[in-house]
Amino acid sequence: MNTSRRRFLKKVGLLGVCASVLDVESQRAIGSGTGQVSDESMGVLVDLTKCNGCRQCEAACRETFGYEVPTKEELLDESVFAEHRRPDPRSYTTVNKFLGESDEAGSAAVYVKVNCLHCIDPACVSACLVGAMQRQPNGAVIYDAYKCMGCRYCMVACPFQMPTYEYGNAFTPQVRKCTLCSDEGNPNKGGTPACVQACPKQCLIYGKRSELLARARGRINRHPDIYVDHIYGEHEAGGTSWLYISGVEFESLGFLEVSPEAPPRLAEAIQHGVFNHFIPPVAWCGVLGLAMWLTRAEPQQPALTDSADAESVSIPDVTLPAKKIP
Amino acid sequence: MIVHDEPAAVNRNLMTPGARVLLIITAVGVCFGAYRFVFGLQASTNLNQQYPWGIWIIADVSFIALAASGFTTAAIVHVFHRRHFHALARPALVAAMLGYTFAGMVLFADLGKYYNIWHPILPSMWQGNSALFEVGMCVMCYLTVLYIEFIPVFCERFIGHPQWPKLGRICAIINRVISKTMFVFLILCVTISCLHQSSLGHVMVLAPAKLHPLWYTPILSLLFLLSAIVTGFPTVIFVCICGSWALKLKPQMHILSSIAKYIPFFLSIYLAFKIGDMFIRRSYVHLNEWSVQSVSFSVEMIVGLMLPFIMSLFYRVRNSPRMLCVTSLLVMCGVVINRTNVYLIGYQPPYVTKVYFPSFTEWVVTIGCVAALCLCWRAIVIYFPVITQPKEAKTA
Repeated sequence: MNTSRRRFLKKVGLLGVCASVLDVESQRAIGSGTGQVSDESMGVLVDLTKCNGCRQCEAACRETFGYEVPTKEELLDESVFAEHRRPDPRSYTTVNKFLGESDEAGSAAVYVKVNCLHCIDPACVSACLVGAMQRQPNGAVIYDAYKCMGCRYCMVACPFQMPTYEYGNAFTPQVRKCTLCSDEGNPNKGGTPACVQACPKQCLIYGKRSELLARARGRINRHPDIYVDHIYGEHEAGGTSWLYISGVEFESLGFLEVSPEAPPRLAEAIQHGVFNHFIPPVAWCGVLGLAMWLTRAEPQQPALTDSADAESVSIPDVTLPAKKIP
Repeated sequence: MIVHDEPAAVNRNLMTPGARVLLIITAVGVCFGAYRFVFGLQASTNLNQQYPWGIWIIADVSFIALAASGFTTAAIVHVFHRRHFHALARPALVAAMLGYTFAGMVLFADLGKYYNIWHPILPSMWQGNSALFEVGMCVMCYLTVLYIEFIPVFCERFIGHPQWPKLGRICAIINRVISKTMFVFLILCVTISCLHQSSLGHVMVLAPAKLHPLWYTPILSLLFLLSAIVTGFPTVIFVCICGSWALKLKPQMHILSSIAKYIPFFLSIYLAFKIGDMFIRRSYVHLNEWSVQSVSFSVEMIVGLMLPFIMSLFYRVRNSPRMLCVTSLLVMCGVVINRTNVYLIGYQPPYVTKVYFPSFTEWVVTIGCVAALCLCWRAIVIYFPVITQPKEAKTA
């Protein structure tokens, strides 16, 4: 290293300037904001005690997104309930049948509609490295296929295992999940989602999340004999736009026990701690530069690379036979 | 007395029978890779809605972990100026460069919309909250830095080349410019690597419910960084010893065994963090499960960490090429098992209908990549001045 100290410092300084420019840009990128519950936040309240498993919501959803719609006979076919189906790229919502523990008369069956819960602080939005997952002001978590590069980190991150992927599409595969009918070009955009419109039992209610929470709380308080005292989605994973009330414990209905802390909070706190305005990485560069400067070969030996003498002078300590470590 | 020479191209035939086998494996891998690009992920992989990440992602993170040899060696040789290890810098650089290049290729195959791989460059798409964003940016920056570090190796090959005097002159100029600014790239190399290796661990911190408690820890990023540093020197040793055997050279044990002294040192730090973390989080209760996860964790700890730790303490092990090679391989395996555990075996989706096991295509492409990596390393050390040989060996 024959660079003078001044030039060295200049370059380090330049690095610092670059880092601060990067910092401003990255702060902008971070600022995109995983949402807070605003007044505009919409949601859907699902009253599981009212669902009779007619699967009209499934049919309406498929119709909205242009997939093959099940026929009347298919909708009446109970055999689909034999397994607990998960959403897939062609059906963003599924209804599953759970037999209650006190299933003597066979009437205690509970039907559960499964779809993306549209978290308030979504892990998929935090995960996506190109911002293809975005939370809209109305609470819907929307996917932008144009940005997506198909890494599927959103699927890894989702605590509810909701996003699905079109593996079968060789050239333009997309992540598929419920959009709360708020995606571009959706006929219901800005209004009530198709599944809510289709529900004949008023089991699904679309409205402001705050109002839905109050309504759910009211129902539970009025009928403690019918409902368990738990609004699923009020706190799960930091809160979700879809809220569920049920007459049976949620754990027995395939609902996951999810920590009330939104997963992005810890992960983002650590990441932004490490990067903290680029101070730690730049400081690390400085430490390495200092080490480099301090340990450089003291006298500038011109033929260090070639001359046998120079080489042997700089290495005697390590050419000694290695000591045995006990 | 040991006298070092300048690194020089090794005068060997590229195509030995072994190299031909590697070439065939590579060709088969390329064919199956092409199959993926024509018919898509469903036809070529066993990935499903529960397991979005498979063996290709593991190959990615493993290649990158092993490529840590590049930055650890750069740090000891160029930052801390331990000139004794100078001969290791270039083999490690080439290994790291190839490791990252092939990680990039596997990633390219794994991405659903691979043609959008450049999207993280666009500031309009930056998403600074994502660990994977950090990974992506660091990979791109570090690949660039690695290729810049390789420029002198490339230039030296052509300086004073009898057939292309003009190219030689251009190379000489480039080399002079690069060598003056090289220290910046060396510092960047170490810094970016540290950030990058740690962010790879941080990726899974976002999925606390899905990663098995034996591995899930908020300090996963620190553990990944430490394990990358641990695996750095063993990988260099492994590459150098196997490289010498393949090229019919004498392994330079005086250098390798003295750098091997760092192995138990770094291993003990990593082990301390790993065991400390296990006790602080009380995750040891899961060791009693006798599930795939607990067994895999035990294998990782015992075979991949403790065994090489004990072996590397012995003077005789460090001075025998074969034993040292085995020890290094164990450390490398330990890290690969760790990455596999964190990204696949410890990954537990809540609703599983189909358990993932890599498809034939996934295996073949992965193995093809490893073969291609070995072949490229061989080609580079034969054509470019990478390996430094002692003078006696050369004159003999």
